Amino acid sequence: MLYFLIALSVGVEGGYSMPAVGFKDLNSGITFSLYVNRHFQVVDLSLGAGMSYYTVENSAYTLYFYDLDIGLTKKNWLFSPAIEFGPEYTQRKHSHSDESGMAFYYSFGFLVNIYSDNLRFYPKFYYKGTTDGQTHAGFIGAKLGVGYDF
Amino acid sequence: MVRLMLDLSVQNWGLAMISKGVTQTSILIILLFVGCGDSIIQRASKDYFQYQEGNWWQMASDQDTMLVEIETIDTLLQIQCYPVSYGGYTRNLVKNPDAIMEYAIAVYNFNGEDHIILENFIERIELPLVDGNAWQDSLVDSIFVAGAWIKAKFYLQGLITGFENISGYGDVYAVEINTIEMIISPDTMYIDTIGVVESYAPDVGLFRLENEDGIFDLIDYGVE
Repeated sequence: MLYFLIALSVGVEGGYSMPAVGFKDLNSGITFSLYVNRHFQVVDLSLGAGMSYYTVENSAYTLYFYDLDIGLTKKNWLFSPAIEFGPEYTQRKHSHSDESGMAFYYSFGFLVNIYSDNLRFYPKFYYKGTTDGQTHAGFIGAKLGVGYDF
Repeated sequence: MVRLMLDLSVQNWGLAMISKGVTQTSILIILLFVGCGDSIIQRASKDYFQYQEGNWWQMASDQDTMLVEIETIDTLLQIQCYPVSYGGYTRNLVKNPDAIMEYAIAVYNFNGEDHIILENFIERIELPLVDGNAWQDSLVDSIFVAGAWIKAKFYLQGLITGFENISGYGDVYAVEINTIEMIISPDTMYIDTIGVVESYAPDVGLFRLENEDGIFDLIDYGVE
């Protein structure tokens, strides 16, 4: 168990995202996530949780996404593909009214791994799609991440 | 040697646990997604107001039909408006990112001459549409005509009363709008009250209209 635990790495990502498909009235938003990562067979597998926040011209309205995700990367490659998917809780707030619901999201893109001892820094560029089964919409974004290998 | 075997055993156990965990998590994700049955992304991402010149919606009630259409774009108060004809009655609407605005004008006729008391845009529908959201807006102004102050007031109250999933259209929002128009002179008071419920469907626009003439449902439409 100790081996299992110390083989983990943890990390945090934050960045900027903007609508690419649908969400015509949305401005840009910010996104933030935490994860634990472990090498598993041929890939590095991560489990994480994230949050994204968007605004529109009407400052009384906000749109939040809270997600749990499974991610796949290759930490030992300089340029690594990055894939994530998972359930997403979506909340829309307008003044004192709100709506919420579940959706499914997936994300694909790439990141550039830069190592300094146990620390790993990486810029990440991605497309994130979200769907409720009837409608698909998506965002493009850029994140800066930092991970630590125990 | 024993240490190596122990390490490998623990490693294999750890990988087996991860594999099992990933499988269970994937099943949970699929179950969550299948079970959600909600159109939250549709409501958040789609356009409910298809205002473009030439778009039209054919509505029908039990006794009558009504054509709602967007006429040639007009400019009022230096703002481009979409004149929306509701069976001949025209509202001049502007689609802003935060609201659908309506052109309002109050005119007082004295000795055969029209005097504009009030002319401005009032917030008709606050955007984006969210269930339960309520808003209100008002316009007040006055002019001095023939030795008397003439006052005009516009009040508008709106409420999103809910949404329902309509097969083939998606989640349709219902918007209740009540307006009061008042013109007050020293000897008379004119009051006009209008209450309507308008329903809007994603990427379609007007879906249902309830006013004093009845309930009109969409039977055909053409939007670009």
